[in-house]
Amino acid sequence: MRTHLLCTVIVSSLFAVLNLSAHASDIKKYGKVEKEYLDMTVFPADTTASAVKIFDVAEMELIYESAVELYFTRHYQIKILDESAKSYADQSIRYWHEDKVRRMKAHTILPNGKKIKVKNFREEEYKKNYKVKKFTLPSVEVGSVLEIEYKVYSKYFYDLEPWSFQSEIPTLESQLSLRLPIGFVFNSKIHNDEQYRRVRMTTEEYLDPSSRRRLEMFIWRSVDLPAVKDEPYISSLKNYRARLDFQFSAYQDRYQSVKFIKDLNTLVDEQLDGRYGSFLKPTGDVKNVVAELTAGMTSGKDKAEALYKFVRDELEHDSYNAYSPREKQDKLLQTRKASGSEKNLLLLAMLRAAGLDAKPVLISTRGNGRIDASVPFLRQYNRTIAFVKVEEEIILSDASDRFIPFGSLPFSALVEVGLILEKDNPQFIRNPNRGVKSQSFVQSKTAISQDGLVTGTADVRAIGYASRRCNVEVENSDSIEDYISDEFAGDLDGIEITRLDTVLKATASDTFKTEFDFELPGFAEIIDDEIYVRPALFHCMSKNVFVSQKREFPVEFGYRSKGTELNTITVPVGYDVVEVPENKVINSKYFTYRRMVTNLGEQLVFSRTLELKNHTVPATDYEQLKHDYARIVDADQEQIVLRAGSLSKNE
Amino acid sequence: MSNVKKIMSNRCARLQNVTFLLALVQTVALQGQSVDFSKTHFLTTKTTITVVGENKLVVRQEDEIVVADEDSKDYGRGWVSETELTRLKGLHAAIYDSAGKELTRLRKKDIEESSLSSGSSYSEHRTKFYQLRHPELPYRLVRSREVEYKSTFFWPDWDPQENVPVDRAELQVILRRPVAFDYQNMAMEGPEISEGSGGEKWYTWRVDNVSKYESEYRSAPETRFQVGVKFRATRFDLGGFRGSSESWRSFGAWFQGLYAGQSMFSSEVAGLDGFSEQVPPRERIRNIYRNMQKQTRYKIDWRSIDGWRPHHADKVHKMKYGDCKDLSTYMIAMFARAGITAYPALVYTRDKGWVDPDFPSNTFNHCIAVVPMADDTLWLESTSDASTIDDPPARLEGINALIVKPDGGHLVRTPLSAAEDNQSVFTATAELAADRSLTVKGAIVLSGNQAIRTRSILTARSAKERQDWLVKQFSGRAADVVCNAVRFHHLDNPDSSLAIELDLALSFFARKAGSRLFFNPMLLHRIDFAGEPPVERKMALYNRTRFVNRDSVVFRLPVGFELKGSAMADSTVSSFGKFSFSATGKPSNRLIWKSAFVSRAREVPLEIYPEYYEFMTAVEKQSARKLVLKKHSGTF
Repeated sequence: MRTHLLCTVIVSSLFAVLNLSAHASDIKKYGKVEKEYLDMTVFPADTTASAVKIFDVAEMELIYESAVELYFTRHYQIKILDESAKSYADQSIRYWHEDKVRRMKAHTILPNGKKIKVKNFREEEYKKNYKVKKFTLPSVEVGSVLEIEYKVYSKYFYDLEPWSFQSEIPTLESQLSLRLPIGFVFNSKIHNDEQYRRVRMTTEEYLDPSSRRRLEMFIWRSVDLPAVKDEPYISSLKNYRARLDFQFSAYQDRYQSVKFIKDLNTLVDEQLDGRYGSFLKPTGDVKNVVAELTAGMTSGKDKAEALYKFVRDELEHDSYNAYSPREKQDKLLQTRKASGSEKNLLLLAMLRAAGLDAKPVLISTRGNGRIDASVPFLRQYNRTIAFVKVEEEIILSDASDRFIPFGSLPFSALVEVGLILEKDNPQFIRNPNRGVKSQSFVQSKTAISQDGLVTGTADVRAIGYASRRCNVEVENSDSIEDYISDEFAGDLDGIEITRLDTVLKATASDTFKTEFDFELPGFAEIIDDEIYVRPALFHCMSKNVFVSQKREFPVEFGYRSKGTELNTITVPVGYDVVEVPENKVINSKYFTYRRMVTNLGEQLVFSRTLELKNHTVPATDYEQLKHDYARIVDADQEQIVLRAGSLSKNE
Repeated sequence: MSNVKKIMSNRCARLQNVTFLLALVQTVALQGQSVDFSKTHFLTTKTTITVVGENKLVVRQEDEIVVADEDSKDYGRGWVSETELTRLKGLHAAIYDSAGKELTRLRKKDIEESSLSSGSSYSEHRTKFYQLRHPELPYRLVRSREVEYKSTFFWPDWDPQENVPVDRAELQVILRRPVAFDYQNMAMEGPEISEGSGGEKWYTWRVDNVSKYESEYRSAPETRFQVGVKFRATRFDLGGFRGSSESWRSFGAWFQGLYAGQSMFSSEVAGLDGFSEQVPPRERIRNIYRNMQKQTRYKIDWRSIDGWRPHHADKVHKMKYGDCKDLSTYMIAMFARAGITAYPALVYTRDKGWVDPDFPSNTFNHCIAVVPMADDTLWLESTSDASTIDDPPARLEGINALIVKPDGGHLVRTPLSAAEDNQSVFTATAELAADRSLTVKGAIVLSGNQAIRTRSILTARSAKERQDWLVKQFSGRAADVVCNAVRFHHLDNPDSSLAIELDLALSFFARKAGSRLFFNPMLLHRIDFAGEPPVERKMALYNRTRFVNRDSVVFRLPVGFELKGSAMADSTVSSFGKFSFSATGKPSNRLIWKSAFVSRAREVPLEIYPEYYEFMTAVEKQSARKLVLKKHSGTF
């Protein structure tokens, strides 16, 4: 009898355990594929899709016994529809190097239902930073289904990984569930779902074995999600994929109540207490350096500029990408090596040492996606820049780019919102992206000879980001001649540079200038008794930058720009101008293009301007934008026709 | 010194306890010499190869570099990948200012580690790497690394040329024990041979003022090694497999040892039936080859003897993936099961280099399978889904391949296809509208290497990406290209020509010049040549393949326009090939355009490069020619 009772208890316990773990696995059974998916040969909703995610489900569970542990389980299936998708057989799972991956399993389900397991899972590691589990699913063919499941154990629970519902292939079902023990509070936010509202949140009760209480599990689910693929002129796909983010907010039990980040004030406190906040108090060494650098200066702006230049130029840039510092002020001064954020924090300390009103600002760089100001989520930021107020002027500085002068921001940091970290007074600072931020100007004097040779002199100027680009190219080129040829050749095949500025050097300046002489043999084409020549040389589009017929997402140029070209062309002696392109103006909501050719008899004056009026174009206007660009390409390719010693009237 | 720099230099002044011999060397090197700090260059580079035995080789490299620009700071990067056969013994680096004062040096904690392989590939290794830079330029970087190799199989060639000038380069080979080796000088003299006090032999090569390497347009890969010494150990031991490179036969015999037993299926392997011996051998081979292309994938997974030994055919059969030697071994096993004799062959693909028949060595980068037939030999590329048994890819053509048979290696030249075997033929009708747009309906038919290359590109892309690819082929011809329809025929069947049926709309195709329209009728096969003028050229030129491109387009012109000038035709002919074109006006406003470019030059030695340059510039100019249409009356 005792034995019978013992068995019953064991069975009951087993049943309870099975019931508890039912939530984790009842959604999708490993190894089971619906017949409709196994038989699928094309995805009806998107017939161009090379593969489809049948499902992608994950569960996050925090377990609190002697310590808190995070258990993350993921299970997904991918259907291969095309040869080009076989590369999905190569899988890499990246995770923090201190975490542990358990119960990893994967197999290929062939179209006939046969399953072939993965036996070898390789592990690789990068620095002491992250690890990668690599494996290849065997025997993959068109029609196969790839199935992968794994579990990760981590002691880092406060930083739950974001969940992306969408990927570069369509997803039929994506789900994340979260189980929290009593007392733990997280904030969550769904992004990029405002328009379609595809993600639904529900809750389910379950029995927590440690507290023996019925708790709620949170489930976010979405179905029939289209693919989100990269397109040209896009800042970050993070701005477009439906995504779920978390932030640890608080913990409470009968003995204690601990708050982490629940609003901006607690976010600021969390940041400024500790190494980050230490940069608000300059050290003795920093003060000494500042005193040396700003000796004799009275203007706050001059001081700020001198300190900015020092940090930008005297510390070697380290590509580590995070908003927080790894080292303290004095260490950075000693090693002379710093990440972008460390440079800016050191700059902050120096500005404060100089007595200036300086504060740290958190931003998310363009490639990292836009921030959501409505949520105090620390993870959405990835860089610290410096705010300084001098003589009523606010200047934002990011010293991470060697070619950006004081008062400007690198393109990666050209974002509209940043969070100023100030105790008891956190606030967002708006940095509207207005005005023309890049200008380029080329003025040439050219002469055409009877054999089609074009010779000339070009005077080049660039301002803003155009200047930066020129300086970077000068720096990266083997020689000044290579720079000129590569930068200005475009479709000018066979350009020869006959004179150039031999002392041209790359600098961090908002303006750039150079000049050179050139020859273009055979540029003017001789057809029978006529010479055909294109008056546009350097600022000229020969093909449309927009190739796809349709577009899903806005076109993001990044900033407004303006390019101007002037060319004074001397006609060969004894030749008359027979045809001159009509003046062209294309004025749209997004840009203005003007091209004029004036016939002065022995000379022609060509001018061309293209100015972007708006740096973002919605996808609904893409077709028109593409068509307008086609008109620009067409106008740029128009030619002047000359003829030897004939009438100068148009025929 | 300013206080700023004093503060910072004090922080840098901590010296390590470890003796740094190079610190002495550099002081001596600097004495009495004036160093040019205005541009980046190597002051010295010294390589010492100490041969301890067949199973041990230590290579030490020491460089002293003036770094004068930001780009050159990358010389402060160093790395070594350790495997079961290579071990890092030392990495050192330090930076000095122009006065010789140490600014910073590499510490042990600055050396980081990674075992990441690139992309999806996997290889057992541990890479140690560092990056040492200093914000103030110019400076002098002194660096060294010492690596131990557990086999003379890895005896490296010496190539002292860099992307910047090298003032002085030296190589020393020290034989601690008698080890048979051979060398080949590349544009240099030497060695000086001497004997050390312990009886070891020293071989020393020196060269001064090595000019910087400058890449050239389509340079033949083997010509990029311009100065230095090539080596081979005539006997070696790799992971217990002893071998010899005294001859190609002996080297092949060594590989045969690695490979033997790997290409025989065990009796338990299932799923190998279906290749009946009733079917003629060539068809049997074709069926097996196609089956393999459909079922297997290329993937690198290097573990055994640093990736030289193929995985067993049983394993590849199960996993259906492997690298070139795995898949070739598997294919040979399949052939054997079907009663066909085949062998592996080691090659150095033409796009990467050239095997010198007079210098047997481990100079290969790829493995294929070879099937000798009664009247033919089949060269089978196991990693391509786009080639056929009759048509290997261009990179296998005209090269020296080492066929590995049971009796050893046999070096054989692979055949080179004729231009006519590799065609791209474009046939279309094109309607030019009054608004200057062009509607094109036609087809591109590709064969040979042209089909292989295009298939490889297209099969790796999704349907939409294929369409975008097609649009890009024409996007330089018009301001906007829209694909109305496209069909790919035989994309998955390499044994047939690849045909692409297309229907495109090109906006603003014809350009304007007042009342004239003009356009380039070469819609598809534009010819671009960016070769250096002969006076500047230093290396031989290499073209991927011989080929023929043909265009035949019937243009229907808008009403009221006629071709300016009479019908035209011209051609440029030389031993390198031929370009010809004709434009003929026809009634009903039709214009027939025909062009053909036959390129026969695969390799162009430097001696005949001037003639080739002249030929190609003439062809390029002709192919860019515009046709001009004039309106009968009024303005357009």
